[in-house]
Amino acid sequence: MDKENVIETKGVTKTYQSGEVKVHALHPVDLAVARGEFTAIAGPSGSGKTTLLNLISGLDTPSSGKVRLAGREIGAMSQSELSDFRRDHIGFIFQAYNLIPVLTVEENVEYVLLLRGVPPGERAERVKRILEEVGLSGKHGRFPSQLSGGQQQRVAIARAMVSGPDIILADEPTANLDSATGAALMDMMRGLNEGRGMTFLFSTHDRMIMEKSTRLIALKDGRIDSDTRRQR
Amino acid sequence: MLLLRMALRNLLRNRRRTLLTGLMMAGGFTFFSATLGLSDGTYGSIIDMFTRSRTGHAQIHAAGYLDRPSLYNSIKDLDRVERTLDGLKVVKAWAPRVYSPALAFAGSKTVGAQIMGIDPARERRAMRLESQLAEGSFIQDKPSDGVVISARLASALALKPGDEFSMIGQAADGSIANDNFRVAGVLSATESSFEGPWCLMHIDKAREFLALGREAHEIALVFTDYRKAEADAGLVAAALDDPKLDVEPWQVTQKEFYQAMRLDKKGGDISNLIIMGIVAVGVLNTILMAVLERTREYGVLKALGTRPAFIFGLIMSEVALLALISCAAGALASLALNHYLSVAGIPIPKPVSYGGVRFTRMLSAVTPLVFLRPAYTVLSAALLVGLFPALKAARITPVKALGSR
Repeated sequence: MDKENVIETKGVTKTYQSGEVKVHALHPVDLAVARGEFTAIAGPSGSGKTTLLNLISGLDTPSSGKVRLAGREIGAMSQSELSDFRRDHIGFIFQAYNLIPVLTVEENVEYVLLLRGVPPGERAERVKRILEEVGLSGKHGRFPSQLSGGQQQRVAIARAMVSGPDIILADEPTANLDSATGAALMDMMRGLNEGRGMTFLFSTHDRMIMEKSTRLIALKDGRIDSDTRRQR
Repeated sequence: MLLLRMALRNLLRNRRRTLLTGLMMAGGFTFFSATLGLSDGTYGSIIDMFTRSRTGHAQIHAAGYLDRPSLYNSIKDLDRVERTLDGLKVVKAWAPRVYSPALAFAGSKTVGAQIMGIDPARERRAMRLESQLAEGSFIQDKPSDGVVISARLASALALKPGDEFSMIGQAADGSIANDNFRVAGVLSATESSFEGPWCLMHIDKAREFLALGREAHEIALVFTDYRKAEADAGLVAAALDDPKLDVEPWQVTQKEFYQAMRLDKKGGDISNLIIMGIVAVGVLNTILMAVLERTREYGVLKALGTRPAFIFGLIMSEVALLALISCAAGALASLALNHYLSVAGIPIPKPVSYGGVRFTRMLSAVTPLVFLRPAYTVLSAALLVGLFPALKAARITPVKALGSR
């Protein structure tokens, strides 16, 4: 396997049992994403985008095949090892933001650093810096319910990036935002990708994300239909 | 710290639900505490009434006397025992007694009687014998032929204060004990602890009658706290350090009374546990609802790399915090209620009199146990019912939880 690849899937499938019917959500998928890529997985609803993202992140287990992330086979990990692995290597951005409502902006971002055992002084410094980068330095004491959707997604981006993970997985990150806010956030993520060299993998059916990404993988009926790269 | 902050804020998210659950727990605490206070207070009154009417909190006998009472099996080294008792802080008062059966005559009537020789001055400090008198006067502090008899003996021999009668018995030196006595007083028929044909006389007069030296068959002890009777009896036994002496608390000397009381108390405990069980089910329902509502959040926490133990700890912290706050509120309410019940009490529809004490109302006993037991019960019940939802949340599969709304 290529050392540069931060994500690799080999023959990954996912089959659900729905009553007496077997649903093949994902047919064997072979995929490799190199470090620093800004990749979008596109496709209509039910094409298998979220399923693939869940398998890559270790949130779900494949029916068959292997997933390697940051050089490690995640299928062999226990639940606790997977928790630790996600904590240390993956940042998540969700469609519904999924901030912890009882934590302030600052605490939501700080949370992942706490999980990683980063010392208090360094935590405060890193949170301050990332909140400045996502344009939320004045909102650190607010609770998620006191923010707009765009601001909440900025917090989610800050939370995903603050620990400097190998890969950021974003599931339909602009789906709940208006187009202007979505475009601004994409520009911000692109800037962070270029500035920090972090790997981004989106699942989307938003045309704007597809246009801004440097690689577009189209899924159709659980299979890769096309895989195209663009110049930066 | 983050765990407690999150737990506290989670509790404040649905304030009405938290308040209702807290009130339920605090209400359970208060009810439990009040019933415990009343139960302890009432049993305290009954125990005091019972023990101070005659038996004392503990008794010293010559070894084996309680199983086989005998005129000859007495406490011989009385001076040493008395000195030891005077040196013990836990012993508030003590009273020596001698016992012997005898035959009582008055006119043409003869009846078997039980002599009890007492030290009137010491009995006055330790017991409430004098207040059980129905008519006449009590035994004088100085030895005399004046005796106090039970209502049954008075009735059997048709005696009243001022009348004379004779008694005959077996003296310790082998001779026939024989003397005349004057009835000084008669004990109450309904409110006295002396139900049999008793004849109470001065201990020195009884010793003289029975040809006993300076010895006693029983020493009744009154401790500073009846609740510590078993432990204090142990202290006395250790201080006496004499294998020829038995020191037994009222729980042993009055075994039947003690066991009946314990059985009754257990019944009360079961009622309280049922109430706490109902409270626990209510708490379980609330926590389960909260966990169900936050399934997605737990999924997010897990997706971010949170270990199941943290989520388990988060829910258990919420339960513990709520239980602690409820206990504090319950303790304050209980303090006020128990204080009121310890002063005003609950009147008894049909007052009871026994051993010279009239029992007219149930009074609460405000002791640390009245607060500690409900606190321990509420906390442990809450933590126990919190285990299931906490484990359920800790085991949530992130991908399923993230899909829930």
